[in-house]
Amino acid sequence: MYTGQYFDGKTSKPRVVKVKINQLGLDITYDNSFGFEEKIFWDHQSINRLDIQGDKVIVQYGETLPYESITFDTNKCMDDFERFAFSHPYMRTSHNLFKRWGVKAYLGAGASVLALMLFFYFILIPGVQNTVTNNIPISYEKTLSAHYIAALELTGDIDSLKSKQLMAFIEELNIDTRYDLQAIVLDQDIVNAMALPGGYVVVYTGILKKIESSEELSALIGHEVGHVELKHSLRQLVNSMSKSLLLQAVLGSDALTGMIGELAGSLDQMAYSRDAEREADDFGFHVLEENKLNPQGMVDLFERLKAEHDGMPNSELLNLVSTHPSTDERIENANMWLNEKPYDFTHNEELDSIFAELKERD
Amino acid sequence: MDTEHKQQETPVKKPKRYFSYNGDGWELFKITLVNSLLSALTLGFYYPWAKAKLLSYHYSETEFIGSRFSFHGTGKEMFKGFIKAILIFGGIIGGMIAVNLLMQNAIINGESVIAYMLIYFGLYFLFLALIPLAIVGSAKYRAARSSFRGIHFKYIGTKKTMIGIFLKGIFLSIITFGIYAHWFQANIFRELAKNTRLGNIKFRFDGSGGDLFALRLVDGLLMGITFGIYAFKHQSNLHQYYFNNLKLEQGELRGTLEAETTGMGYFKLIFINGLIVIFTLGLGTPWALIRHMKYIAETTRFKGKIDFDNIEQGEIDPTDATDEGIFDMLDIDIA
Repeated sequence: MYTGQYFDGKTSKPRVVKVKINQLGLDITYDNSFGFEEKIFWDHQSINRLDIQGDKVIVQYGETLPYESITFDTNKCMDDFERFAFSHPYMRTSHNLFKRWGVKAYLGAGASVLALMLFFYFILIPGVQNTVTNNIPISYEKTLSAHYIAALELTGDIDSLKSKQLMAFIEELNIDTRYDLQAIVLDQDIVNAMALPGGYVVVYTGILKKIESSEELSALIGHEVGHVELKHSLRQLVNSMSKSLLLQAVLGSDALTGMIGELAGSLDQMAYSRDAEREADDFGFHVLEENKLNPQGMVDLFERLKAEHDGMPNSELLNLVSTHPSTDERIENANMWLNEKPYDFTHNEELDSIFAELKERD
Repeated sequence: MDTEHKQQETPVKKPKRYFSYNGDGWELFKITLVNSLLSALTLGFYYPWAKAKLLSYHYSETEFIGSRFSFHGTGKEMFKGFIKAILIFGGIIGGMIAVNLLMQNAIINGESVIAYMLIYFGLYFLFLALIPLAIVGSAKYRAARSSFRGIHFKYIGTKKTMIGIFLKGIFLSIITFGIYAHWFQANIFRELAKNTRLGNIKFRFDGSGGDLFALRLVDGLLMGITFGIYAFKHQSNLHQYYFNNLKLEQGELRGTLEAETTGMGYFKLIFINGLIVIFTLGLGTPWALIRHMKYIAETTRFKGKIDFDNIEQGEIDPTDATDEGIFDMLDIDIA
């Protein structure tokens, strides 16, 4: 016999009831307003919900709203529910089942969530991402870049003569790519270059001024075309979108967990882009090899970037939180290639002469 | 609270007219864990069931004068709403993306884009129109599925009046450079409260836009002077603005809520919750949430005379959860 608070769904008058739980259902008795004992019966089939809420148990009865309900004063009644109502659907909701299975079930659930997250994160999502990025047509990649290019044109920073010369340089190079490459030289004193989806190689005059040989320029172009060919920016876009979707689906969009997810996401992005830089370096090295150019060009390029960044802290710690591998690491990698895969190289006169034209006005 | 509680109880055995929240961090953590597992296994489609379980947990742990609230919405019901909302949202957003792409192509080819722009703005307007519709629909659904002592809430407001409030609110907010937004916000609240019933109990919101504007203006100045420290007191003031202006009517009987929050109380709540969440890398979020709910419940008092033993059940609103789904996706925070 258990006591609880009963509501009939018609009025809000709370009634103290005594409940007996048996095979057929619940025998409920209470004193009505005239002091006489009244009896009602709930069959198990029409009980539609049972929630264990801390030390209380709430049971709901009826086929249609409004339901009748009893809030039991103690969760000890669960013993009888287990005994007599074990097979009824209201007892077998996933949350109630986990409660019955106990601590081990929750630990199992925790481990499974972790395992599923890892599976999604490292296997399923990268797989889907690959399929998606590989199937995005080049024309759509160009559309993605169109806005940016249009904005560049408006700034008036595009040096069209140098862009043409750089284009000639690229055409002279033998590069294995599916893209129609297009060169854009921006007249700004920035020591940098970038690649946009769809085959755009953007180089600032700042870096052109620093570069001193056609091999070095070839290494730079090779690196940037590597980004294009391997669809790095596109991959990054799909990557960040899908992972934030996953975190949201599993963790929910609570503000604070959201923040933590974002932080983890941005660290992940940095690691991703360091890998991308290494891949692009690799691609650039192959361009030099294909064109029988002196691989020293790659090392020279990195040395120059290093000189440029000298004075900036470039420690191991920074390597962890930066988007590029440290220059020392890249030089080391390049030297490794040099030693591992030596090949015969020559001078490409044609490239040299275009390079000389490019440098003419400096 | 304990001393007052005893004072009330010793002479006559009167129920305390305080709210309490009895939730427990471990319980909520376990619920969240099972929800996460099932969500992950179903690639997110368990979401409506997870939401139903969480809402029902929070309602059932909220107690007022010795009885608990209930949420009767089911995952199945909300799943239908969820799917409809995905289709409606997907349709509009997909349409906007498609029009945008066509427009870009037209720009590249030098064609006219006026038609595309009109369609785009049409879709955008449709998207905006979803907000008041979703607020009303969700209010209807949540009210119909919430009960206290077996008596269901009911929302009787119409979508038409809410759209009117939004059109007026957006227009005036734009031409007053945002000043009217405070009145707009108060109007939404007034409309929501005025149309909410619990059996024969009616609700009313007495807060005005002017009060809200003055509150934000003065508190804004004080926050500036105190380098933001006053923000906690502001949070408390804002909470009191919403709660203390909520009135109840039952025939001749009147009642009101009173929030006893303080700046210091909010400071402790937010500061410690922040520590809990950060140092547990987010795993402690359920405990932080429970602390928040407890604080809100325990500082809320009911004043006045309403006969909570004799609330009559009205007709139950037959409603579906489509708008609830849209409301959820818009992620609007109105309370």
